[in-house]
Amino acid sequence: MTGSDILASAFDSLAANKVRSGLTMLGVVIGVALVIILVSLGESAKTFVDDQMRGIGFGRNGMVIHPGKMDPPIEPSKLRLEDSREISRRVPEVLDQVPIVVGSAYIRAGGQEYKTSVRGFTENYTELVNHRVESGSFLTSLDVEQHRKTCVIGQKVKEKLFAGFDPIGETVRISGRRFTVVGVMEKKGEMMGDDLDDLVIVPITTAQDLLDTDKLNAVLVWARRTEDLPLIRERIIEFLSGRHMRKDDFHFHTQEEMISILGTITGTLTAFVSGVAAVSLLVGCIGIVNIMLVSVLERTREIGIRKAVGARHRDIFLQFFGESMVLGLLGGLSGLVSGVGLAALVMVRTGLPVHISGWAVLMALICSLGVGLLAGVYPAMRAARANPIQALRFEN
Amino acid sequence: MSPPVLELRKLSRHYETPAGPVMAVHEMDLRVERGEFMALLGPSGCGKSSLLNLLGCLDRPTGGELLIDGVAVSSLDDDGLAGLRNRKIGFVFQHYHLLPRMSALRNVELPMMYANVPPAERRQRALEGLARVQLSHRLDHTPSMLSGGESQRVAIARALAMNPSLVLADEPTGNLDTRTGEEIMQLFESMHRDGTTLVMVTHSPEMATRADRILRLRDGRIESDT
Repeated sequence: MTGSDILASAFDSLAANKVRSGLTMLGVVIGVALVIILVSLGESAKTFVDDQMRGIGFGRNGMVIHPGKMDPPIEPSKLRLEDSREISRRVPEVLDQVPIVVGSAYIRAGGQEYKTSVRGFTENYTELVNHRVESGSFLTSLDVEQHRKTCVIGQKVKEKLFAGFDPIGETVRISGRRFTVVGVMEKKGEMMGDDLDDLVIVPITTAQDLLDTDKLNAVLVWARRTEDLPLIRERIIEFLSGRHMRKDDFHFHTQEEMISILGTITGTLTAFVSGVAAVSLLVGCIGIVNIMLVSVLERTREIGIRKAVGARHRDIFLQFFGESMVLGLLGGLSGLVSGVGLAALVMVRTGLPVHISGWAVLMALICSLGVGLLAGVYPAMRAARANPIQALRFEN
Repeated sequence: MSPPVLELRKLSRHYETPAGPVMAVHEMDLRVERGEFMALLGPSGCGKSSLLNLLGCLDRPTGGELLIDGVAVSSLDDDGLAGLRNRKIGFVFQHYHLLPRMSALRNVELPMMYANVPPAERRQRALEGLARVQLSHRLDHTPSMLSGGESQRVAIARALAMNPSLVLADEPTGNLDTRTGEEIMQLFESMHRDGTTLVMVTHSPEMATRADRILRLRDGRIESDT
């Protein structure tokens, strides 16, 4: 009995019971598809997040200081513009820093008005963050020093207020105050739910005036050398605690940390869904065992006949084992196709990067083979052990 | 001189039942030479089926010795017995015992598959075998599409597929009408003329007379051998 005999026999008997074979495979199909969809989605989301983090682009040597504690989150209070300036002065390992103020305001020009995000930055923002001016120029140090009412607008603001003509040099009103547009930012899209095209950037000092605050929302800090980040963090805590007479009033994020936090979340999710998929594969396995046992019983006489004409234990074992393997593998392949298809569909629909986890595909295929193997052994052994005389006499 | 096809030395098959031991076959001595056509005759319960199962290596004796073509069956393990059934023995059953989902052609190929005959040769030999039983027009028919006589002819072609030393037939005409049964008997006679060794179980003395040797069994023993 050759391998192709075994395969042909397996396909024959599965084809003889198409509905039953299909239903039996369904457990494996669902399990494999689940593994592929969920793991691929998890990895795709992680890639997406990674890209986003890198897209905002404060780089590996960058770090964000937020006022207030992460846990419990208390009202941020203490971070001021002078603090950020002092950081550059007091901590020599710091390459540069950008203070950030975020708020929102109505912006108006040519009779159009709508609410957009107002960001206050210093002039060095575009040099440090991967977010550039497309036309015109960015803010200058004089703009910041003198609280000038200059602004750089995002692509969406340009479209809404200046459709069809050049906004550079034009006047807009932000919260009723006159600002001169000096530049337009490049198109950047959405990053982590933050639309980087729907904003207006003003000097940090002007932003504080406009939003009537003396606080900062965050400070971005860059190290001269990435490995100095922990040291810088220590120094900043020391220095800021001294200034504010209060410890732990700040928290820090490096880009890698944020990625790893998100990685932990997606990792946990992936582990959970892998568990679900594993259970589904197990159920699929039990389904195959069950059907194979029924099949062995139904074909008791066939086993007797085959033994009478010279089938050995091994031949009978391989026949039934082959059927179970084919069930597992067919289920695995169908699951693979539907899993890859559904995963791609979901990714395209949700705008996630289309990414199919090779690891998941491999695991799913190995699992489906494993399921076929595990599920096949016991029924095939029962079949092989059948007594030929009793088997020939079996009525059904 | 070649050994006899069958040689039984005090061959026994006893069963333990709640009602006490049953001696289905008891200390039987027998030789069947190559080319013989022997009928096993006797009432039901005389041990015919048990003896046939032993001769066909479907069952193992509880005592004595059975030699097939000079090979002691007791020296073989299960796979050895399977090999012996495959190469040396052809079965023809009362209920045909064809595989229901397979065509006539593939049913005849089955023993050759287990003998690792290459697929092309299997096909060729199965075609020849079916031609020999005049079923060349029924190659792709499954058993449910065949009449009883046709089914039995497929079974005979299958039994002959491996050119066995011995063909064992268990009431081969038991399920057939007289005319069809007669056709099958003629087929056996032609096989006998071609030199095939045949052992046929029957309960019909009339059928038994077609053989050149009749073994009457009673209570697990040979009553007469003519």
